[in-house]
Amino acid sequence: MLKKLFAIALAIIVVFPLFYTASMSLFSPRDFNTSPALFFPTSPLWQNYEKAVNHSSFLRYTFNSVFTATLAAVMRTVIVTLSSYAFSFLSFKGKKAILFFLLLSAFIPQDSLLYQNYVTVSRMNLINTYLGIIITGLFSATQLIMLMTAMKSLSRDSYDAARVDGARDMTILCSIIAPLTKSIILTIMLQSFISTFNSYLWPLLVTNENAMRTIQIGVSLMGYQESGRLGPLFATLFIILVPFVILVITTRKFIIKALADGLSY
Amino acid sequence: MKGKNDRRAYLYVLPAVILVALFYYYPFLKSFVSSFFLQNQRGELTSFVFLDNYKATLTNEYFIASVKNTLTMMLFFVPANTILTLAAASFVRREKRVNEIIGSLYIIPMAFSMSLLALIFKQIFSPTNSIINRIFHLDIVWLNDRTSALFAIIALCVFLDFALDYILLLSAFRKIERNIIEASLIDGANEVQRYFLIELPQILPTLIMTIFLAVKDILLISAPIMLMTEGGPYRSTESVMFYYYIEAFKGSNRAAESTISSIMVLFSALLLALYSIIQRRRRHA
Repeated sequence: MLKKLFAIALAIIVVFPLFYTASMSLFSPRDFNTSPALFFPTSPLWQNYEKAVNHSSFLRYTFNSVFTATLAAVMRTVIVTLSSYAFSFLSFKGKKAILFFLLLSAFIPQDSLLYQNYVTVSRMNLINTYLGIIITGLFSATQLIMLMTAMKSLSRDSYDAARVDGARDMTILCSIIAPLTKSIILTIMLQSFISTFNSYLWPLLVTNENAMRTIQIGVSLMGYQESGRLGPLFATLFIILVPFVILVITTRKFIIKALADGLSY
Repeated sequence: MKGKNDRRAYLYVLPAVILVALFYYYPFLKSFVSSFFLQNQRGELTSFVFLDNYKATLTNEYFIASVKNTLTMMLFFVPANTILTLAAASFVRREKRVNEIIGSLYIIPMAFSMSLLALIFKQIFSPTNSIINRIFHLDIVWLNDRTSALFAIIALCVFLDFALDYILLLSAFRKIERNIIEASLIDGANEVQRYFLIELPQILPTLIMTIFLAVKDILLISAPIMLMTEGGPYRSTESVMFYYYIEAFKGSNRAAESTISSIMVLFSALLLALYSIIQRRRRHA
């Protein structure tokens, strides 16, 4: 019984920020200044949502985020899939050394290379470009391990048969290998989408034009905090959160399985 | 197949190799080499000074304070994170309907990105009228002193890592083979004995993994601090990586940039190496 109570208490704590964001998205300016703080708005101010959606930069920021996240997800998946295919099915000189070179990168945290990477990207003239926002994150060693593990567990028979028939790599990859490792490839895509969509520090560094900002940075640039109009700020946050909450809850079985399989290295 | 050389393989691994070389090895080597030299404003190396840059960084009072802050956060964050995620996973580890409902609530934090959650937490821990104060009948001016600011940052970090660690631990619990548990039932083990003597040892590798992930995350923390406190009040909540960010981008301090970058890369590599060794030992033991 005590265990149940703790479990429920923990659930309430975990859900609280979501609940409170929803509640604050309907606060009037006065509700924010009431002391002690309110749990619910005195009367829900639906205009906050109107203001949030009609903000001149809202659509642009959202588009930038969705576009860069999609682009990164596709590119990273292609890059990881191609190299994983090579390491799993082809034999070539220096294979072990190249694999070691790639996997060792998992030991180097990019967070502590921010400045040097910034210098490189600005020398490549990629400041304020979509490519600049995503380029440092287009490869992931952990995802390569995930996919290689999946590909190596496949039986080689169908690969060898296709090879004998003279099928080309792209045909084999697209029509035999990819369908069999579909769930891992989808996981990699989803992970890449979410991590790019959610990234903050790097896009902050490599963009300075308002039109190139992503939503993660944009919410702080909409001027809500400065003008004390916090209602539309939380309405904006809630609009961004809802699709992700739905995504996380509906795909939870899939996410749990994929993470459990993938991270067990 | 043996001895055959599929040349086109090089083409397939080339993008990955270029990306890793350009955005992992090159910046690290550049920082590492630069850390032994003086640099001019354009970033060119001028004279070899061996360890002088390290001496300057390691004796800087703000750097020392940032190390202390990072260690303090680690001291509280890692146990808090471990206990809460382990508790959450333990509560719902049996596949029952009610557990599935509570369990799906536990993964909601995954929907939040760090920057959005920081904005929400900033309001929850508002210095003027905090909802936390109302709930717990407190009278704290949040974010206004080092202790309360660090507490708020740690709370944010716990929330950010919660869902992933919970999922990892939960799937570890559920992977335990039924016959192990059933054998313990026949032996007459009670609920508590079964949990501590049978189940916990089984999930230990995953638990160790989540602990290491937590240590690594808090070691590299910077953006949550940037958003919650900007290192304040009076630079009292700066972490090592936040100090690095400020020195590199705002202060043009090349010595601090190259030395801290090198130290942190080596340190986290060491940490991960330690992790691999521990896990390998366990597997062979």
